[in-house]
Amino acid sequence: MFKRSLHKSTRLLRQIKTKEDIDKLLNNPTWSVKELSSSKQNSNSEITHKTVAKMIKLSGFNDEVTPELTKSLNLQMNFIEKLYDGEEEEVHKHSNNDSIFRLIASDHIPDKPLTLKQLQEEIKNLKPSKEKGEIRDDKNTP
Amino acid sequence: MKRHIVKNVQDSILNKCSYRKNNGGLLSGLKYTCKDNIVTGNLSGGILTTASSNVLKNYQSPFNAEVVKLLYDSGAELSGKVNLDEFGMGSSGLNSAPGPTLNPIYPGKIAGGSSSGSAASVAADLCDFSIGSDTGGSIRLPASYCNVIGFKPTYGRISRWGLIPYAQTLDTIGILSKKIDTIKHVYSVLNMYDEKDPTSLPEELRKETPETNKERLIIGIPEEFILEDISIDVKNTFKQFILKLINLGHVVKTISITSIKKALPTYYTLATAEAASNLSRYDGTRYGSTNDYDKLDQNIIFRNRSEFFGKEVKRRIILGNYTLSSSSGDHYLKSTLLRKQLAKEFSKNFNNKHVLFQDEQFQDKCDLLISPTAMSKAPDYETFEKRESENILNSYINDVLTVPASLVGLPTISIPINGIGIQIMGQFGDDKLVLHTAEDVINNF
Repeated sequence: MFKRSLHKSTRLLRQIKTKEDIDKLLNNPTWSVKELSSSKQNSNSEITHKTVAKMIKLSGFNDEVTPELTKSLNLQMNFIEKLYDGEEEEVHKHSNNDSIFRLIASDHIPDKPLTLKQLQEEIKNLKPSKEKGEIRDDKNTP
Repeated sequence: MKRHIVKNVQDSILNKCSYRKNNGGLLSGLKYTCKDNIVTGNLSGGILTTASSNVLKNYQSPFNAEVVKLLYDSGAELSGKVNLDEFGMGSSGLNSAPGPTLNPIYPGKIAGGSSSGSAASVAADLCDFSIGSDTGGSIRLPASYCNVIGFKPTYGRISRWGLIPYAQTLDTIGILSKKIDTIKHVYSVLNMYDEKDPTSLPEELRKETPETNKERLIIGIPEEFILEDISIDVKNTFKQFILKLINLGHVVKTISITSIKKALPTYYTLATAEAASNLSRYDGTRYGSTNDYDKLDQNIIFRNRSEFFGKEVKRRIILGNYTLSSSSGDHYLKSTLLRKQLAKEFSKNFNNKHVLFQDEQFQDKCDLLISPTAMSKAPDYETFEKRESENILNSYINDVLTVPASLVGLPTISIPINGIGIQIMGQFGDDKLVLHTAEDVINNF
């Protein structure tokens, strides 16, 4: 259902001028969020009791594995597998898994390369910051 | 249930305090509340910062967050720290160690989250404005449920120095108020580069960011925001809103951003992975609460974390660790790629260039995008809890309309129109246009 609707875009993108145009747009929804919470018949990754126990430990908890937790993790993984809807291969395995996307200027616009002289100058001018707590202030330490 | 323990609405919203200097600054005479995941230091009279978690129930920060410092310098009075969903995780205001935030204007309804106390304190007139944080809709959703204005600026505009991280590539500090004018003034004080925050938008890029300055705007409605699940009253108000824009002389058109449909699973993969990493520091030995145990061994960490973290936070940490583990697949990588695709798709629909994607410039596109903020008005406690207990995902899908702008870092405001929240989104960095248009619409409604 999700796969089909993702690729179905037969609606004409258009200017909205009249009340009728608005009605037509809002009365013809493109999808339902329920498509994301519906469970799949053949889920790829059923999380077992053993895996949940391992994840609880890895997360630094000593809680017992409860059916409720196992159920919610399975539901969440089912939800996350919707990432691959509409694609042929269900779950990908890559050798390189260190990619990151951030909205930080230096990730998109590289700084000008530093010369050795500039680098030495920067190191020379580096001072500890009081605001960052790099200077000990006993009065202000709880 | 826990909420019956709460004495009254005000107690469910804030811990009072007073911190200000009389200096005749721009914000003198204004009172504000601050979400309790933003640190207030010893200098502010020893106000604790708890993130509404037992993990930090006695935490006294040694310093003030940059926003607290800037507001102090401009004369605003901090009058209270306000309740939230623990560490910002939730969309209801119910996941809080001190107890739920009660909705002051719609009794029996949830306040929305995670900036529940921020929205509620504004709605109850306990302050002139509130400082909140928005990771996937945490300012806009409660603003919508409490009938106030909530503004999430562009990611990187306001310093995150002193904001306790939940998911640092998404966490954004923003402003809630009943008055758009107040939001504009506060934003002008907080919109500053901060060298202490490595994600702060650099000064030269702030100057380079193009601003839209025209009367007749082109406003897009992504058709992926037209969901079957949107209630009749939200739909009707959205209709009136579109009509108003047309009557004001703007051009409104439909557009398509197909990746929006995958935004929610993308968000929950990335946010939980970052949360698992960020919250690993709370073990009671370096940070966070601890008990006096007879025996000090390595199990102390497990005991502390299990005892002091709330249920939803634990679930998100476990999910984050699972998606990051080798046994689950490369979901983190896939989400990263989808996020990038979403950012590019959004950007292509704006006339202004994206200040970070400098090579791209498009024409005959939009100046702003609009959608409802939430699929319905605030649900009542019983309905929300019943739906959540039937399927945990029901509480996650509340964020479907707010998460896309978070993943892409767009300036977005939720304004109340006849009790319903409507979102206005601008190109990355085009915050002023978002605020200006919100003001124009509010004054003409």
